[in-house]
Amino acid sequence: MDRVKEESRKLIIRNRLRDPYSFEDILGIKDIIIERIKEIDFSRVTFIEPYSMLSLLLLGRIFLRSRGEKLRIINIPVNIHQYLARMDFLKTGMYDIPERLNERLFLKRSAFSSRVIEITEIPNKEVESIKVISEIIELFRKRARHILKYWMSDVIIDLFVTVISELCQNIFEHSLDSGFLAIQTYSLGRENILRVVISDSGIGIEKSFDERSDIKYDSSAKLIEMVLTTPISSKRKFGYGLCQVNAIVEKLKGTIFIRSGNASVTGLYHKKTKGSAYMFLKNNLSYFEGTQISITLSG
Amino acid sequence: MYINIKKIAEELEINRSDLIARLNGRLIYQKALKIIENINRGETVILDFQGIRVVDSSFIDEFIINLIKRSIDSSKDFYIKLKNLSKTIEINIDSVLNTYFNYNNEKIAVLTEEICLNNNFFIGPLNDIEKDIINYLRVNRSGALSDLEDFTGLNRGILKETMDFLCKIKLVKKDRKDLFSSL
Repeated sequence: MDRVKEESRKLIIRNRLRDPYSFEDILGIKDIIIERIKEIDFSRVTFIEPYSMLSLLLLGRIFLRSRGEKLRIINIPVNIHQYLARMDFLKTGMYDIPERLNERLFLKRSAFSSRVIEITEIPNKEVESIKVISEIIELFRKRARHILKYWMSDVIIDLFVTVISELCQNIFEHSLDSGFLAIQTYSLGRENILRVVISDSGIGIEKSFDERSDIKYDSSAKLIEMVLTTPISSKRKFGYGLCQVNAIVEKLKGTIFIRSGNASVTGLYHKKTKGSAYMFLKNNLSYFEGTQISITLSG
Repeated sequence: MYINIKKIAEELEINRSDLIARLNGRLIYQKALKIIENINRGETVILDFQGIRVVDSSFIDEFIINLIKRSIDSSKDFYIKLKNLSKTIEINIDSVLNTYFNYNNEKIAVLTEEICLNNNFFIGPLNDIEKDIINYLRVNRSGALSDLEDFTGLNRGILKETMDFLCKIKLVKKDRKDLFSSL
């Protein structure tokens, strides 16, 4: 392979790992990455949040499954490398990361700096999955006063336990693949943001409803909206989980973003006022396997 | 009859304050069924959630909804009451019962020992008349159809229908002809 061709197999990632919406730019070139790219250059990335991190992880998994080799990440800025190490991204083994972070630079894991739940894999088998979900909930309860520092109350902790439990169970019930969870509270300017992300690269919402021919919808985004607002289930007569989560997010005036296949729905409950639009549907996005969910509280 | 849910969960080695997932709901439901196997006719089963913080909708569907349905359908005449619910457990049960009603057109509700967020001693989508009757019987312990007729202002036919329904969904006991009591 000549030098030009070799060079074209490297992709410099733009600084688009800031939120679910900017990450769409990366997904827009997903097929190019899977087909042609060998390594991605992180030198321009200045910030990464949990949704983008888990989506990046899934991209690495899809790449690995498709090409049989790992996508390489190079030129990772130290602060990004520290964050990825702190969130256990490196431990997942989805990427080839030849650069090593000096041990002295690792972020501390004291109980008081625990405003995160590190990336945790949710298995796609019921019994194992319930065990892992229970462990996540136990850890969340231990760290809740740090994670929920700006929203703290016993009821809010319990509501988030419900959210985590409902969303994680959807992975083994519907996705036919394992998934991942990550939680983080961080500051962006003057805003404090809590983000809970649960993502998988399974069959996605639309395909999971293949056998429910009685459920009619006119677009993929409409179906996502239906599962959020109507207790439909692909497996049984009713499914309360996502409706319950949506109701809790609304109660807490948060934001919910669900992306599945080539569609997404955003519910902006902090902007919900009488008569104003707060649910936004998008179709015809770049196809991305599975379902990715981000729940955000900000204040 | 009194059932301590946390104790049952511990016996099943679910040693956590949060009861989640269909599988756990099914296990506890099976265990509860064994306990109430020899229940006396007309007895009330008190499900005590002391020490439990959260039960999620899957668990509620498999355990609480199924047990309520069992009490409604079973030839064994028993009643259910919930005790020591955290706010979140109550919110989650209420959400599931309302969803069940809205999309299945089948009303089920459950009585509670303590006052709930809705200022009543029950959770579920009851209408104002049904709510008033439940509250009347809770305060007065029992009431004849004629008392309830005076209290609600309903004509006898509609009141009878309402009382039959409340008896059917096991929120009210019918002691003898035209005499009703709370659990």
